[in-house]
Order: sequence, then structure tokens, then C-alpha cells
Amino acid sequence: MKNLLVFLVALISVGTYAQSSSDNQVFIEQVGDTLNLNIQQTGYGNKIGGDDFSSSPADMVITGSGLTFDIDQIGNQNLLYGPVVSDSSSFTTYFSGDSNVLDWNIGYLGSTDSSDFDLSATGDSNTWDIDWGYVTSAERFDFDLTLTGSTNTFDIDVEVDDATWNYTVDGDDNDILSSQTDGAYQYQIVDFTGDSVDMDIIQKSGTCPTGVTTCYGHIDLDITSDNATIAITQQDSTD
Amino acid sequence: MRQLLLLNKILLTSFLAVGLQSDPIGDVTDISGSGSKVLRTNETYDPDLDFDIVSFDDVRTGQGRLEVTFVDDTTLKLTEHSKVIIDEVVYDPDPNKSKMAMRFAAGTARFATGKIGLVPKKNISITTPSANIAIRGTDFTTTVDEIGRSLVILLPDANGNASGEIDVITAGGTITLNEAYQATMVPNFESPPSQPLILDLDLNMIDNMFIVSPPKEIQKQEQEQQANSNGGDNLLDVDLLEENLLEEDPELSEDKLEFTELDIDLLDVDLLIDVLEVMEEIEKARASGSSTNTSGDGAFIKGTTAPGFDKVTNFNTLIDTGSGKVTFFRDAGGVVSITLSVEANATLNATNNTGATSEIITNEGGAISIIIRQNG
Repeated sequence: MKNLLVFLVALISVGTYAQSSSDNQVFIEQVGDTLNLNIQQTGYGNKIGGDDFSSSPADMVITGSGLTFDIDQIGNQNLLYGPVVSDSSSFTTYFSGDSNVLDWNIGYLGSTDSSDFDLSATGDSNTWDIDWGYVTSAERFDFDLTLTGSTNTFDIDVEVDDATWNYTVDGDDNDILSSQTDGAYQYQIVDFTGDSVDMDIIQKSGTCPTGVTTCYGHIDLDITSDNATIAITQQDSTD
Repeated sequence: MRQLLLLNKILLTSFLAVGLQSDPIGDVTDISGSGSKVLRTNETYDPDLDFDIVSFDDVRTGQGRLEVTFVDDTTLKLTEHSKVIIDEVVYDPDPNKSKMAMRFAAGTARFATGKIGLVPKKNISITTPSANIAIRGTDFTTTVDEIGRSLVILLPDANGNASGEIDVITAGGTITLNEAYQATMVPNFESPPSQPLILDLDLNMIDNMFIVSPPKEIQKQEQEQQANSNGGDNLLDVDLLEENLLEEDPELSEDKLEFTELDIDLLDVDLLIDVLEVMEEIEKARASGSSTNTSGDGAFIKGTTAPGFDKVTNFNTLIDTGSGKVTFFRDAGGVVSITLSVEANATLNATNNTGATSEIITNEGGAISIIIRQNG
């Protein structure tokens, strides 16, 4: 009964707006624990964010812990915006289509520890900008990305301790910036197939936990390509 | 005026007294063969066992070998045709007050520190014609060839570990040796020392090279064999290169310390001279980018040992013929592992935490460009 009440409270401030037949919009502002959120949008120009997108896109707000978050956007020119504050949560997102935009800040306003993020996408010309643990704690992060498509641009910053960042990319002309900074025990595993990739992999470990002197980064890159430009920077500090 | 002259005389006398340093700083503890000399001021001595060595002695070997043990138990062993100038050895129970300075001018020498091993590096000055050597608790060899090139090899301790650490310093840079059998070669003082290589040597080879006098049993056996072989005065039994014949010839004995082709002991000296020359060839090849390792497993790899671990690039290269992949793995504080197809044309430019750079090329290179910067 208690769990049911929590679930109902969690749903109180979730609003859904439909502005036109071509633009499905989901406006989310949610506070509470153990939310189980499932959204599937199919079509052109779908949006999930923090307002009605009448002007510039606004971030959705999700705060809680133990969340299960499952979003599928199937179609072109979809938008997903928002900061998420949620410890011990599981995020699963799937995109299928072209020219989608994902701009997500997780652990931006509050801690997002022990979370698991699985992101998969099929499509071209997608733009992703993900910041994980930008301001607050987001330790023990497990991030998996599978991308199939070309001419995608993604900029992913993971600024957390004890992060495993595993991504598989298959496609041509992709521009990838993957940065792990300000944390210890970082693991970045990259499996890339495609031509004309421009990839920057940065791993800068921050301050070791007290009494630990051996925290260091690990980068595994497996690449199958006829031409690629890859820069790997691995440093001991955030300087 | 008279007082001034007297003062000058006193100062000059004091200077000479200090400069001559006539107190023994060590003695000859083993000697074999012939032709060894000690040059002291304007005198030349034929050293024998227990011969005192003093500061500024110029110690040379001819057709023999010699061992000097210094007051702190540091030993210096010289093979044939070597020359060392011992500038200064001061031993004090306080390591900070101890000093050692010597110059290896020619030949091959083995230097094993005694108590001086505790002395700060700054108090030890060891030079060759092409390099300065800073040591700390070390057993090492130097080989200086006739054109002044130097080879320095760090030897292991009794447990097989590096016996210490050596900095080989030139105007072109510094290389640190800190692993057993790690070696560097210096062509001249203006050039940087070569990248260190681990030599495939063992201590028996080194020990045999520096045995001054064989054990008594072996000496006796050799004498018996010699007696048997000299049983008759057959002309065919005479060794025309035998040292005494050379010494009896006034023209040849005039400068017995000079290198000649006949003087060189091919079995011993040439080993490290050969090593020196091979290292120079490797360094030239590396500098020109033509250092090539062909794996034989479908990948053509230049610039690092393949497969296996390369001490210079610090990459461990693994080739998996089953999957058709080649992996370059390096742990330089952080771990970077790059896996490519064995057919990939890739160029890896890697910089490690000391700033050392290396370039690895697979097949024709260039199509895939990977830049790795690892800073601990």
C-alpha cells in the first residue's frame, strides 16, 4: 500500500501535451522515488522535455531514486531534453530515426549514484550531448551505448568515480568526443566499425579516494576502419 | 717581498702535497698476463699483487687483466687493453664526505661499488670519452672502443635484480638504466645515449669475461697442458702472436699499450665491442624510422617488437591469427589497449609520461591515425 501511494505521488506532476498531429510532446516534471516511467513515441518531431517547446527546448525535471526509466523514440527529428536527479536508477533509451537530438544532464542538480544507463540508437545525423555527474556525485556509473548509423555527432562527458563506459559504434563519418574526467577507476571500452571517424577519447583521473594510490584509467579501443583519426589522452590529473 | 715569495712557496708546496695524494686509495688485488702499467706523474710502474694505487694513477692493461680493490671495497676489473685514470677516491664513514672520480679511456671495465655505493650521486664522477655516468649502488661494465664510443651495461645483483641505477648523460640527453642487463650506447658526447635495450646475456658470460686469474685448479691444468704441448721444439708449435715474442721485439714493445689488430683478444673484448656496434646499428635504424619488426603472423609492424614486449615503446603487442587482430597494450600509469585488424594501415604516435615518443606503423600506415598521450 505504501509503495502504491509513493507511485501515485510520483505521477501527480506528470503532464502530457499534444500540440499538433506531427509533434507529439511529453512534458515531465516529476518528484518521488521508485518511479517506473515508460514512454514510446512514434512519428516525426516528437519531443520529451520540461515544457511545451513553444520557444526553446527546456529540460524535463526528474528527481527521485530507484527509478526505472524506459524511453523509445521512433521517428525523425525527435528531441529529448532534461536533467535527472536519481540514485540507484536504471535508464533505458532507444532511438530509431534520423536527425534526433538528445541533450541530457544526469547528476547535474543532485546525486545520481549507482545508476545504469543503456542507450541504443539506429539512424543518421543524430546529435547527442550527455553530461553525467557534471556537478554532483554520480559514482559507480555503468553506461552502455550502441549506435548504428552515420554522420552522428556525440559529445559525452562522464565526470564520476568508478565509471564503466562501454560503447559500440558502427557507421561512417561519425564525430565522437568521449571524456571521462574528475574521477578514479575509469574504464572506457570502445568498439568502433566504420570509416572517416574523428574520435577523441579523453580520460583524466581526478583525486584518488583517501588511502588509495593506484586509481587509474583503462581504455580499450577496438577499431575496424579504412580511415580514421583518433586521439587518446590519458592523464593523471584534471590539469 | 721576501715574505711574499715565502708565502708563494708554502702555498705551492701545499698544493703539490694535496695534488699528489700519495696515500694509497686501493691496491692491485689480482693480475694476470703481461703488459699492465701504472703511470704516475713521470714514472711508469709494472704493477704486481698488492701494488698501491694512489689518486691520479693512470692504470693500463696490455696482454693481461687486472683488478683493483679500493679502500671501500669497490672493485674495478680491467680486461686486456684497457685504460682508466683514477682521479680521486675518498672514503669516509659518512657517505656525504666520500668521493670517487675516474675516467674510463679505453677497453672494457667492470665496476662494482662497495661502501661507496651509499655515496650520493653528486660525489661520484665517472666519465668515458663520450658520456658521464652517474651511479647509485651499482655493478656495471663500460666498454670504450678505439673511436671513443661507449657501451654501458647495468648488471644484476645476487638476486638477479638490477644492482642499482645508472644515469648515462651526454650533451644530447640522459638515459637511465634501472633493469638488469639494460644497456645503452653513446657514439659521442654531442649525441643522446641510445634508447636502452635489454641484452641477452647472463652473469656467467660477464663473470668469465672479467676473470683476472683462473682458479688454481684450472691454472694447474693449463700449465700441464702447456708443458705437454711444449714437449718438443717443433717450429710448428711456436705461436707467432704469443705475447713474449712481441715484447722481445724492440719496435713492437715500444708502445705495447697501443691498440693493434694483433692485440685484440677476439674471444673476450670483441663480444662487447660487437654489442656496441649492433646497438649503434639499431639506433641508426630507429632514428631513420626503418626499425622493422615483421611478425610473420599476417601483420607487418614497424617501430616496436611484434609480437611481444618492447622495452623502448613499452607496448606489448599481441597478434591473434584466429581473429585476425593485432593488439597494442601499454600500461603507463593508465592502460591503453588498441586493437586493429592485422590488415589495417595504421600509424600510432604515442607519448608516455616521461615525454618519450614512439611511432608504430602497421602495414603501410597512415589510413588510421592514432595519437596516444599518456601522462601517468
